[in-house]
Amino acid sequence: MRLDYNDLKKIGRETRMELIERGDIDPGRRRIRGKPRDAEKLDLIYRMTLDRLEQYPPYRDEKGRLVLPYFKIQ
Amino acid sequence: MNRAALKKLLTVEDESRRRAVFVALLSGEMVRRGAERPIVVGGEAVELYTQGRYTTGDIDLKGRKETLEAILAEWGFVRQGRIWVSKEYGIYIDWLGGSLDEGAKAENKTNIIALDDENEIRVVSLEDLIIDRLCAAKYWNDQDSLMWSKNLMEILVRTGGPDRQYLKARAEKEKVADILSSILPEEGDK
Repeated sequence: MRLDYNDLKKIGRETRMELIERGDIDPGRRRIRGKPRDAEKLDLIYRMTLDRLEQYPPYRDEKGRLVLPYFKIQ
Repeated sequence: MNRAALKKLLTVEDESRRRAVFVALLSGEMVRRGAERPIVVGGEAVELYTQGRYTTGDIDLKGRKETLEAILAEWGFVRQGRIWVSKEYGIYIDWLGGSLDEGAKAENKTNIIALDDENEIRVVSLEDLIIDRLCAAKYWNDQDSLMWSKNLMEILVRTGGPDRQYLKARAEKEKVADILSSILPEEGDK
């Protein structure tokens, strides 16, 4: 079966909306993983985040504001 | 701001970027209406500081409720319980109160994130966010939160360094000083 990414995304969004409307999930509730990640996976995510930090190093501008280059509006 | 300007959000494919732009637009509108910029807390704050590496579903905000709700209603959001939802933009707003629970000191420590010259977001400080994650690690045994607190510490070190006195005082109060000491770099260390 061939699935289109955009269709999947749309379906995912609509399903989430339905679940919220039905009260099955609460988007405001803090989520804690039921199944803990193993140490290797945690380390991978940690390193991926550091990689982004290296790739998009944040800095403070002349007004003391934090600039996060990944979010900078071009 | 008119709805047409808001529609530009739909062209932002990356959801973490879309949430960031949305909060900046919302903040600007709140300021235009005489309210203070809302403060981003919780998962969205982690998402912002980690530049999208951590992802969240909703945006937790502190700020003036009446202004916030008036704007969201005008922008087509629908209230579901305490959450404001926009199907169109795929954005969920959770209003969590008028001010930070941690008090005035925490409010003074908030950061302003600049997306460009005009668009700004006010976010809970890295110090307070680290303590929040350490509490989750200790009391809920959430190893993910411990990992995120280490990442946030790294970001803090690279953006001016931690306010050690403040961090330690907060950690003592929340009884997480033991875990804090395991992630706080030695003074003088980068």
